[in-house]
Amino acid sequence: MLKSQTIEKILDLALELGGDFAEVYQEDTRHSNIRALHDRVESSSCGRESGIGIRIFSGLNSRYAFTTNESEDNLLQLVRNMAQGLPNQGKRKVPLGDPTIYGEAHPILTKPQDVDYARRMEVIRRATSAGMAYAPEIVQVSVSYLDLEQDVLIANSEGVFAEDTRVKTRILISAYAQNEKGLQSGYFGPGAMRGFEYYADLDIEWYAQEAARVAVTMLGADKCPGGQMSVVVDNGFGGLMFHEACGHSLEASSVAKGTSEFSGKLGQQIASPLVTLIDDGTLANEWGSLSVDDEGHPTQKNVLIENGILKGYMIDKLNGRRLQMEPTGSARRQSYRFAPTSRMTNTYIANGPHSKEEIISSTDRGLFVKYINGGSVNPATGDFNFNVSEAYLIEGGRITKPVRGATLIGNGGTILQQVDMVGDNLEIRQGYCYAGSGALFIGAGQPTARVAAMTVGGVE
Amino acid sequence: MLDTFLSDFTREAKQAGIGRLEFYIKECEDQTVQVYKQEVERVSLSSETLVYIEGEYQGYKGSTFVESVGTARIGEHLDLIRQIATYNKEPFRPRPSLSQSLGVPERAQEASSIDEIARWLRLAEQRAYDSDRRVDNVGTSSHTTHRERITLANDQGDRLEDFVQFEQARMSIVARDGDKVQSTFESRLATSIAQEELTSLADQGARKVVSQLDASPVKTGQYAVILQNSLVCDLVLAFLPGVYADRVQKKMSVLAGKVGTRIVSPLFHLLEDPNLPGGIVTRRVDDEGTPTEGKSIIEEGQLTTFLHNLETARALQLHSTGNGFKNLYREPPAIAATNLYIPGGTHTLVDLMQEMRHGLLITDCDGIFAGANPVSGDFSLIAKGYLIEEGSIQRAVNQITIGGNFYEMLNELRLIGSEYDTGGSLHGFIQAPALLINKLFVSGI
Repeated sequence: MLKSQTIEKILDLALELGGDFAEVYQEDTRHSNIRALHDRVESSSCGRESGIGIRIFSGLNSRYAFTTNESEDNLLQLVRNMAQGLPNQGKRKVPLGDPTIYGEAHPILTKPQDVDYARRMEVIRRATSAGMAYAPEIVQVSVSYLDLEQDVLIANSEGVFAEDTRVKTRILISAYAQNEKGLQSGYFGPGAMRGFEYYADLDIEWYAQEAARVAVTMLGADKCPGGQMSVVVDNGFGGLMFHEACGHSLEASSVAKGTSEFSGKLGQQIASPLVTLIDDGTLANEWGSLSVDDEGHPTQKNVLIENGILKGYMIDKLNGRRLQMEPTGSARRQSYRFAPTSRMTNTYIANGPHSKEEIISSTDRGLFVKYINGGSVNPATGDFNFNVSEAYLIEGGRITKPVRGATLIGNGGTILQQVDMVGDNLEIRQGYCYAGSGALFIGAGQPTARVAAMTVGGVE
Repeated sequence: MLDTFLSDFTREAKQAGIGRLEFYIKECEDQTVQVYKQEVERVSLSSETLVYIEGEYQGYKGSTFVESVGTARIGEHLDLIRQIATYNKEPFRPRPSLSQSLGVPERAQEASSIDEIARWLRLAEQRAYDSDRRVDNVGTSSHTTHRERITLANDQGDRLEDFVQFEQARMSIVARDGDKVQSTFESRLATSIAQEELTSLADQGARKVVSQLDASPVKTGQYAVILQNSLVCDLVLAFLPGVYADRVQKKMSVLAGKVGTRIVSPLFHLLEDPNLPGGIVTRRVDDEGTPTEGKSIIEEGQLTTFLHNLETARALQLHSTGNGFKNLYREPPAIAATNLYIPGGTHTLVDLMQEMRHGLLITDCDGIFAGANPVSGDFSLIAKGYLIEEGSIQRAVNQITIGGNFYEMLNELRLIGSEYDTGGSLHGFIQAPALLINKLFVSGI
């Protein structure tokens, strides 16, 4: 990692040339990413991702540069190039001192670098065997194994000097089922902010069978009917509905310029009183957690909506300047290639008063969504969509036949008001979120919840 | 620094029993300028050198990747190559000879200065505000210049270079009228983008977003639809993996076994051309060193070929079609296209609407990565557009989905437009016209 004298030179020069804030972010990440089809390795992508990102602010004007050339001369020249045209303010820097070392909140027992390739392959083999054995209709099981160990250094002109090691481990299992009706797939991807010890108590076989079960179930599914109906979204990654419906619209990157549907609405009732939405980057060893965010600010538990009332946003430093609000430990980036911005960590809806059985039995006609594929949102209008991977019709208070191919759409502000039942079975699952500062590890969760009416985009 | 790294790596590898090294080197430079409310809000600059290395250890292939070559610990990378080779036991197959004579690749055009670009962006932003009083916020106006040099090299001193560059403009515009809000995200991708293109992007975006303010859903049912040219670009790229030979061989494409058969309407053609005028993927060789080539993928509705890399071609004793491109530099080559083109008809958008009489003009879809399934061709996507009555726009439409099967939809193709838009990335670029489709299922109220 860079010497503190070099970092100080960079920060000094950035302020001397007109910045009122400067930051150095260095990353060195060991990646192992192995993809196998059946038991054959299709692709091994293992190596080191490393480089440096430098940021300079002058008021609301930001400059960002990144490079893989870590020599001091190159970095100082980069600062000169970046700072062209900035007003010269001559602001003084706070000395760096010793770095704060983070990471204790998320203990790691077996670091990926201490695990040899063969042990990783054993995990892949177990998932493949269990998935293939689930049913004769299963024709393929594709498994991606990934782990990473990211060493970061974050230092800024206000005296922040942080070092952290982030260890993430995940396995992504896709099963493909085929019969005379066609080809369908199922997927499950458990992960954590843990080392290889994660697999000691993970029931890999169960996850692989679950992916296979979805594929086989969808083979027998009819096409989903379209139109307006009640929608019950099951616990777990169903939380992605709220991630899309309101999570992105509460990120300062959307709010700060007044372009989010929730801009300027703090303290207002924006959701049903049943909805309490939390973003918590501190959850121990969770996939979406971090000890310290990518601006060197410790993560925290942010209550965004409490009993339907908008309580706060997720705020990074630059957008905090625009909003004149303090950062919330929400600044994230995929790698040194991205300037950080406000993003979600583990976002979930808190438990409510209803049981899952109660929610289903009180729904006369609707759609039960067990798993979600992915989705997106337009934060300005709040219009969002998500595609389901496993869904069933609810008829007369009972789950009846499986249906496939549905995309559900709605408007965040409207849907939040229409949440009329929230269960008591909160569960958080793991995924990725793609936005302005790249692809990030996120958790999304909720108890089983019902929206009174939504547009179900069917295919007949 | 790079040359020192390559020679040090080669020497130490030899000592460790690793030979026949093959290097894939990607050197990128980027510049982005972003303006907000007439001020330069953000400038980003970058330069990176990324190296992917394959080598032979005891007859088997191992690999690693390195970014900061100046500080790389070579021993650790050699250990990775050994571990992967030993465990995977995938026989090492050398890349074909790099000694082809392709000449020197075209060099980069001089990038415009930050000040000059900022001036264009200010003008474009102002243009959007001036075009209608309901334009409430131009959230982002940005311009990116990207240049990339790809070098294929080996430890024998052979070297083959290729070069690409593109520029991209983006504008997000929000319009407001009382409680009604609409927004649009407009983007343009070309080898070069200057003031004129930025201004037209602002015009186009402002006009669209204001016209969408009164949008509301339509009733669920079958409709005749026109898919706007920009949306055709997105949809064709989303389903293109259906013709990638790796996916076909892994039983992950509904098109398996269909080469030589009619898969869509005979009106539809899809061509690939690395030399397409205006195309950004002007690669002379793919990431495996195979020369790229122009070809017809769908001709008169008939599937004529799958796209192959060396591995998928070898499995069928065919030749690579020059489509062995990496998704990420740090992964082995997969499959992608260069520049794609759909030959157009003679009908403007106005002609298409008059021909359709009643139906929907669909301009945008979102969430395509989740709602379009390239394995089966099925899709269900949130959509926006306009209701067309008596051949002209009646009102704007939102909060609907379009759904069906991509190939069945193209079987219902009635007419092809004459006006083009572009889309994609360096992993596949496309120029496409609008399409008039006889019927498509729409979910609304």
